[in-house]
Amino acid sequence: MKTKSFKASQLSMLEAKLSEIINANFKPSLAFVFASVEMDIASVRAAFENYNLVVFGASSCGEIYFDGISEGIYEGSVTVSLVELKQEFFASTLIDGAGLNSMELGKKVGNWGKSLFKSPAFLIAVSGLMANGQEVVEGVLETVGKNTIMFGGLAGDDAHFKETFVFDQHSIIDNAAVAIAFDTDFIDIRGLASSGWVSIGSDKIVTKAIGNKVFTIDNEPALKVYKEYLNIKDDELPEIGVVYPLLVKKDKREVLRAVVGIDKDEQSLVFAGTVPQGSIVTFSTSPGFEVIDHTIKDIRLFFEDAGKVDLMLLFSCMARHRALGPVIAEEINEAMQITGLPVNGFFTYGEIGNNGPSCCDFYNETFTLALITQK
Amino acid sequence: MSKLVTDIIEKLNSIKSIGDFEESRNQILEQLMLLKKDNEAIHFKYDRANKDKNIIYALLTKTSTDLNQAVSDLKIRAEELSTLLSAIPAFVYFKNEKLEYQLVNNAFEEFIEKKLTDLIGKKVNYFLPEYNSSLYNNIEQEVLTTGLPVYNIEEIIVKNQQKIYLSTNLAPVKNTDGLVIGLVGVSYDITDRKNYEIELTKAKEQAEAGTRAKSEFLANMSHEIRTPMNGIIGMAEILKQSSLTNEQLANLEAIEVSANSLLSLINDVLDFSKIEAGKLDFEIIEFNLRNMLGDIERILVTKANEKGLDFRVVCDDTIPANLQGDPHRLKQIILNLTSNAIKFTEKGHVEVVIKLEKNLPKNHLLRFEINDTGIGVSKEGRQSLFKEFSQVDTSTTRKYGGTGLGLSISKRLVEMMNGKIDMNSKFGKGSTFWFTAMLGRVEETEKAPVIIEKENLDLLSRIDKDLSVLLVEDNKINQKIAVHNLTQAGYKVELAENGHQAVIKYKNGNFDLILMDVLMPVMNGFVATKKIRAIESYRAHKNKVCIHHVPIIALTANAMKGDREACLAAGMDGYISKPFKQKDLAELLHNILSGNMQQPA
Repeated sequence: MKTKSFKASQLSMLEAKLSEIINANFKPSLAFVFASVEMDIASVRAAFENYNLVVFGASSCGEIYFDGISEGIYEGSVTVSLVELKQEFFASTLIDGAGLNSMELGKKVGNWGKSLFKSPAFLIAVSGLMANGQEVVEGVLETVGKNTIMFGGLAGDDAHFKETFVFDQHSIIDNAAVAIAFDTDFIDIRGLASSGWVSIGSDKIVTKAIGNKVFTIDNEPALKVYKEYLNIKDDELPEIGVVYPLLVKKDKREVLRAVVGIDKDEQSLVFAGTVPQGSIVTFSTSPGFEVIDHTIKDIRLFFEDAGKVDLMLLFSCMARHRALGPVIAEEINEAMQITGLPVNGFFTYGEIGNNGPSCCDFYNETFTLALITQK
Repeated sequence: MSKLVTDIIEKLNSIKSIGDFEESRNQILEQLMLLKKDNEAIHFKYDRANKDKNIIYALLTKTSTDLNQAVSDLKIRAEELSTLLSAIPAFVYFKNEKLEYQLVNNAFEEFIEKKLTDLIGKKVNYFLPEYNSSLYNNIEQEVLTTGLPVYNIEEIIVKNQQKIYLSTNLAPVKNTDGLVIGLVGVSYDITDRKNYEIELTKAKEQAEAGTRAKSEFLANMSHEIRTPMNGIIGMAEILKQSSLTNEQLANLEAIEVSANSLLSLINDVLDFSKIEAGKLDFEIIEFNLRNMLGDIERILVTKANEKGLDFRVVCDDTIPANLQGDPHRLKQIILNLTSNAIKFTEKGHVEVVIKLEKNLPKNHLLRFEINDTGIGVSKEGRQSLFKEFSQVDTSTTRKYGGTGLGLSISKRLVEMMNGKIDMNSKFGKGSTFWFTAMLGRVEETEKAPVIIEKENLDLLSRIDKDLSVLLVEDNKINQKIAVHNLTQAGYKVELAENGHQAVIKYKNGNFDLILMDVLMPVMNGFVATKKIRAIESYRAHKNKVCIHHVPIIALTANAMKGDREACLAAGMDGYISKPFKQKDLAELLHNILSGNMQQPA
């Protein structure tokens, strides 16, 4: 499996790079493309039209391309990984989410993958601000099996929270899932999801919630609780909410849920994922910048027996980027240093992945790294 | 960072010429870029640390306020709980898993005259050394082991030489993991209640003794009244057979009718008092329904015909002939309802219809309907119909007579047969009285034909002709009546004044039948029967032959519960109420001899 990755800050640069790289010696069949909405997504997609390529594309909230030479973290650009891989090892789909809820969308992706391979593994990106990542994951796991391997994330829009996109070689949709199903007989997908956030304060109970909207915590309006406890002003929300997510404990599982929106009339909080009614929550924060040390430790541990790797794709939380600022480069750099491979990816509105041997889940605030290797 | 700055300074210091500068320019620029990056990171970290500081400070302040509030809430709750505990008049305590006191309420402290501080960590014998707590401790241990509560443990504690009755409920106390860490006990002083109960039991016993005395008195009275009544009826019957003028005969019949109705009233009152005293005999024996219905028909058809009424009994063919229940009581109900129907019907008909209402695995539910074309009962009248001492109105009583107990007795009897009784009627257009009765199934087995002994066959053939009878009776009038009746039937009668005489006469005589009064001076009927039976078996043993078993029939005036059993236990074969008719005696004798006895249940 031959791969080549690059980053371009202008459309012309993207076109030039593609024509330079793709030639008689390197004929890729698959492209992973993560682009800022500033780049004009339509033109980005069009740039791939002349090549016989399957495109897996998503709009981003900051692009990641680490090759040991360039800066690593970008805004308003596009990153590309081109992969030479036999057509029979994978397939792609772009499923329109119109008229479907997130669970149904997930099931549709799952059924599609199951119809192709005995045990498919997925890369997935979901667009639409109303998409519930948790339910998409559950939909896939329900149809394919709870041990299914899947990595990906929710598309971003540079923190405008207006419109996000996913695309393939043919079209772009603002409410859809783009997915690649791999035949795990030939392709190995693994990875890790590391957060390092810690809970602070006392346990509270979500007393009223529907989907990813929380109305009351301990029978008090959720927005009021959030503002009172953290002493923050209206205009600081929801931006500050991504840095201080809630740690949600339910059925012995702990997931972080960042605040991505508020509704002043309802006094409710909108989270980047489901917060079930009745779950126990605490506030959480990164324990200073040691959180990076925590993730670096996780990365080192994971790579101790990771073996050969062909391609690394990173789905890192935009909230994590906000919280850690330029320091986030350290953890990304670590993965690159260990493998010697470039790290391509984007900052997401939510991550999907299997943390080592665990079941696939939907996260916030994580560093979720997917490794793709031909067996 | 300081290393980076030192490096840059060293590089700048080492520049001696423009050539040197050109050489290290790129390196210095690269290091300055790194410095810029570091600087940015430091600024970011500083900003972030500031924000974190503010937010965490806010969170801690709020959490601390919350905690203070929670602690203060908890204090209030604890005070409320303590107030509640002290307000409870029961003795409340909490013990740990070693059964040591941890907490008690005010009432507990006052009861044992010790303060809580003295009690913590102590066991019950610390303040009640003479109290044997082992039984109670076992129950407490059981609560700890099973984790289940135990209610109403009653025990007596002696304190200051006074008996104190306590009733205690024990409940386990569990921690959040569900493990039992102790128990809560709530004890009530139930001494007053217990004393009250004891008094109540005494009063109840007294009341019951009173009721017993009353029913015994009633039984005795009925016996006392019946004896002269029987005398009157018997004598009237004898008198009727002498030559009388028409007027005399009419007067005599009036005496007979009055005496009979008086006897029936006495029987009603007696039955009712027995029901009240819970002493009504109620037996469950096998009987033939159709035979019983035949009896009823025989008894009532004359009465009905005298009034010019049609009378019939219709029994559903699907009802099995043999059933289990109390045939006498069933007969009594039907007779009562049907007699009423005849009484209150001036023209038309009276019919008794028996239907099978329900077939159950072990029982048949039968429905008995008594239809008449009589005066009927108004809506208002129906409401009090089945109540004691009630008739439709006083004018009815005047016109038709009766105690007003018949329907009430019938109702009680029906209830004893797990049935219901009621009536439908249109005033002036007749009534249907109906009742249901649960009667037991009889396994339809093929009965072996009764083999009747030779002697019995002989007796049977002579029942209606010439039996030799030993009549044991102390009452002169009764003697006279019985002798008259038996002689009329062609029987040869030998008289004994009491049990003792009877035994002697039995020894020396040869009788087909002994009629034995029960209550007699010198020797009563039970003792005499036992002696006669003893002689019988002695003779059989001595002569090694089968001695003929002489039927002994008790003559009973009082039919209190237990008398019947006593008769049979003494060795009698049956019993008959005084005054008996020859026909009844013959029927009973027939039954005894042919082995069809139903009475010994």
